[in-house]
Amino acid sequence: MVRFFKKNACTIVGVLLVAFSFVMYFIIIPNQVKHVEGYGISPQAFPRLMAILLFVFSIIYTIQSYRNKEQEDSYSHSTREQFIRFITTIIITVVYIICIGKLGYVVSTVIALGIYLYMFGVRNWKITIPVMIIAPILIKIFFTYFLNMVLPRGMFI
Amino acid sequence: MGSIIELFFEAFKDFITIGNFLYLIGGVMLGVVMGSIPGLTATLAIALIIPMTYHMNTVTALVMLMGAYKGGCFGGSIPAILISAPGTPSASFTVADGYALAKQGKAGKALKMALTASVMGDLFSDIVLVLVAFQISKVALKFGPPEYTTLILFSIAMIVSACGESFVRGFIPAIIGMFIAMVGVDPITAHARFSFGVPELYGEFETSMIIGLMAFSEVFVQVEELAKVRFLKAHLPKAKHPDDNRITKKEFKGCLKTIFRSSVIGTWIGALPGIGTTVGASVSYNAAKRASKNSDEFGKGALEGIAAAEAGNNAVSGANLIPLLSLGIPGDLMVAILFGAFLLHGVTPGPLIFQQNPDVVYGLYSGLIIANFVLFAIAYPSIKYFKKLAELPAQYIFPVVIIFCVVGSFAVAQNIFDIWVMLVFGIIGYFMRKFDFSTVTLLITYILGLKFERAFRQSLIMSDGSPMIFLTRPIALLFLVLTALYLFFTLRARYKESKAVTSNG
Repeated sequence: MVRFFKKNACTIVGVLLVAFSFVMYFIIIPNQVKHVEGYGISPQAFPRLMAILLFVFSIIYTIQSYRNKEQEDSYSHSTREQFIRFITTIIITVVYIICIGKLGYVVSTVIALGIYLYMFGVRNWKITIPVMIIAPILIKIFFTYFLNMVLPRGMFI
Repeated sequence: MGSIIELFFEAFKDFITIGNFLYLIGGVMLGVVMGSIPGLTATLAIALIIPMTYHMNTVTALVMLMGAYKGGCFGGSIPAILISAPGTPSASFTVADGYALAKQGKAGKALKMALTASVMGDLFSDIVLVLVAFQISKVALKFGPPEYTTLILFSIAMIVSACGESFVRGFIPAIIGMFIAMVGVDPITAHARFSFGVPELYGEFETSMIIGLMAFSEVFVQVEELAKVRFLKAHLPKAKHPDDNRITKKEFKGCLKTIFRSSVIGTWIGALPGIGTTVGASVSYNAAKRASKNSDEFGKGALEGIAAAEAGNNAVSGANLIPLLSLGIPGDLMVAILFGAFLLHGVTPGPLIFQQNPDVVYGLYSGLIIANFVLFAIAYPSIKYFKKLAELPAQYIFPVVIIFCVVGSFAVAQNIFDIWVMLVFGIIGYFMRKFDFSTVTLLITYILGLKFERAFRQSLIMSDGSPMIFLTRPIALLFLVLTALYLFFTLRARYKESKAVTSNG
């Protein structure tokens, strides 16, 4: 299954884009753009024109990708480990964004920075610990006192 | 012309304040540092600086951003020369000659030539900007919606065909950029659309989108790669002779013609939408090689090669602002980001800017010109420390970049929702890079999208829905013909190229 997706990654993206253009034309545009008379053309006309163009180019893209399966594509060269690292970064960032509003900027950033440093391959804790503590505090001072901007506050700082 | 010079000198006097200088120096230094670390780019630097400029005066903010960009363009040549790893894509033409000289113990000479050529190319381009942009804007003021529609169409055609090898891979992000631009409010009826009941989507989210697409997507790419990469170290021989660390008079004279030629080429390329610094460097380098008496030395340590590539790529940066200020069209990525900064400060770039915000335009001009001298004054004496800069481990930098992305997205509107927007665009940008879709095209068409739609629909209102209006107005027709010709010749050239590849391979 994974092999199929990797081998046909571009074709699948093309099919998804075709599907997106359909959903856009038939579902999203009629529901999200109000039809009003008396403005030269309907407000739905321009988005629909774009949906048609997207459909045409996505079809061409899908056909090109299907015909040219052996094309060098960086996606198909991503290893499982690389993909896991990408997904892990998203998960950590999602948790970090949730925490930043609940715990506050400093506490959540210190923890998140430590995890990010580890993810980027830093294993020297003598450097990691000062960086994960000092960098968030310096950023806080810079934004709060030099740029007069408020950073998220939560239970802590 | 007289009034331009008067306004320029007036703005020049106003610009000279300690605050402006400090921010300009900060921007230039940040740009040099970011450009010099392989993996970080000038674009990333300015994407991260935008939120910091929110509370600044408009001119100060724009000049700080341009300072960072100029610093970043030059900064890219530092790792190119010292460790054979270009800090920015446009510095890849500096690698061969720069690194060859560095291996001969002449890294100082190569860096000084890169800096001198960068500053001269940039200065030339800024002067052309000052002289030309206002004149073009006077013509553009006569444009109505049909002319604007076709002009934007022409610009999009150029941007699409300049990005990536495949036309289709250029058009798809362009259309998606248009769709994203439609989120919020209809420009004619003022009704909400594509907002899905989320009130935050009525507003603007350029800054978060820029940070996500340009900075956070880079983080995703790097998180895959960096764990494998070891720290890069420069192991270079020391200079044997004092001349190895400086440019002699004879060498400077020998390169002057090349610098001038490359500055003209870079400026011309910069004034055209969508082409960018890498092409500026490449065309200038090849032109210098063809014109040089020592063309055999190119790629083996020719100072002329460094001068050509660096003057060519830096000359693009000032000229890039010509279509932005005179027509309101951002021609490349950096200018697209700068467009976001203009809007953040309540200024809309376009021909009217010369009437509505002359202080901003001429203040920006002053800052641009001063930024070149600031870059030279900062970088020239610190060349010996550049080796350390190029060796800064990116493993420590990228996690901090993530924090800046999060904080920067939040800071502008003090809203957690903007951080989510940033993350979503980071993911979109990552997949676009993976599948070779151009994020630059998406960003530029996003910026041009509403303008295009408004002009297109206004034209049709003027003509009671008849598209013939685009064919009956001469300037609109001219742009349409230019668009068709441009697309035809580009497609034909690509077809010939692919045919040649097939027959050879």
